[in-house]
Amino acid sequence: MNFDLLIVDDDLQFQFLHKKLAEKSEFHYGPVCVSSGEEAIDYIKQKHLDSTNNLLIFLDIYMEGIDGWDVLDYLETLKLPKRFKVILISSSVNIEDKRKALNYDTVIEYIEKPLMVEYLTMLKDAIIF
Amino acid sequence: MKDFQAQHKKDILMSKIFIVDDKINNVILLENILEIAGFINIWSTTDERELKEKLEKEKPDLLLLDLMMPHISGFDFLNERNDPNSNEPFYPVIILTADTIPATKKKALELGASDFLTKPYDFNEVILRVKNHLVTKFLLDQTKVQNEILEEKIKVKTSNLLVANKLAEKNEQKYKLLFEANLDSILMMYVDENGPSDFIECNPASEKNLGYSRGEILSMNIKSLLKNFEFDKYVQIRKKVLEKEKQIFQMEIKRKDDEVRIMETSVIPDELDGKPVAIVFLRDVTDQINNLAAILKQNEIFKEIAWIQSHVVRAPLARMMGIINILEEVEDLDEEVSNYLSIVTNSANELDGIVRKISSKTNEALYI
Repeated sequence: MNFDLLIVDDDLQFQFLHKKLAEKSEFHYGPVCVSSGEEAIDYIKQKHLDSTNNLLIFLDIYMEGIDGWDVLDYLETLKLPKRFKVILISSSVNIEDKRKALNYDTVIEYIEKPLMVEYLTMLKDAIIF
Repeated sequence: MKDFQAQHKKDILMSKIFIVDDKINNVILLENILEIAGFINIWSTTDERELKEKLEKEKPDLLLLDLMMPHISGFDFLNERNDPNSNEPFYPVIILTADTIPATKKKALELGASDFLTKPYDFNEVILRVKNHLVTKFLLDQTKVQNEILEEKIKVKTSNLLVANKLAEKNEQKYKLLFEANLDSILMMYVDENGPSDFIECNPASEKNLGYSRGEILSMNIKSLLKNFEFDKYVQIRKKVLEKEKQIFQMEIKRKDDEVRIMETSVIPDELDGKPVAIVFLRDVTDQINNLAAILKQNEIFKEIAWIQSHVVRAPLARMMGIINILEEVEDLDEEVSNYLSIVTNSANELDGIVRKISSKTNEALYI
């Protein structure tokens, strides 16, 4: 496991569920959970700008205040797509959202909720970074 | 004259000359003189009745006519020519006579003879007089042809003018109809430098659309119709009218009942009595614009519904599906519980299918 995992979701139940699934599927043992875009950006600034650690983010799109798109825009400004990668996890099944997500270099996957155990089990064996 | 004769010598020598004299010697003499002079188109007879037949078939360019003949006298031929009902083309007649009595000459001249040749003939005199009269005849014929061409030209011009007049009349009727029957208001005004003039013309629709009578409209100007009149804008519009440019824009027009309506305004530049005028077409588009606004607002609501479908409804459903997914992973599950779980799974999937269907349908509708 050569990366940290950040779970961003304003829905606490999803936060809990995604954390549980990551641990249960042995995809990651110590994910960090935050509930808003603001907190996500703060976390990245404090823990990741000065380190060389890779960061994978499970990112919800629609949140109050700074939303998933804003977080993606912030990541674009860092110009470090090799160190920061995002899996968008949204309950939206709107095709326009999927199209828009393709424009971001950091986005490696768009997943419609729910996140499934099988998916993480499969992802565990993939080389992400 | 010399130049003319040289130029048309051949035409003159081709002239048809008829000679009639009951004395064969005279005929032969005249023929000889004329042939020596180069004339090649001579017909002659000693029987004046033959002349009569001949004249019915063709006309000469010049007739040399003896007065004293046994059957029909030269005077009779001259008389016949003067019949006002006859439509005979003119040809000169030279009277051949030994008679030099002035009364005879006078009578022949009165009857339309052109000249006399007195026997015995003088060779040069015969040629000169014949040539002179043929030239005159030639010129007359040419003038006649020219006149005919002119007349024809005038006829064509006149008929063109008639056609143009008819067309103009038709157009006027058409425009009048367009003006009278148009559902849009049509107003006409001078665009003076210091401001728009009172309206100088208005159509029936403008009375209905604006609520004013024709008399009222013709005593007011565009300023009193506009909700906001800005002189700067008037100056701009006037400039384009002077440049003969058509303009289309929207204006807020206040009707007599004080209701403000949005009018699509077309300004057509024209001229009247040498002064620039604007013909203004007003089409009430208030309802159209309001309808469009209503549709746009509906669309916004529609988008919101689509958003709720796609995200808000689906979020709790996705939570349920996530939990079910975890429960299914639990080992050694009681068979009965497992059955219940699969019913819940199927129901959740079914609901998810419905939400997705609605979401994609609304998307289709929004982006058509």
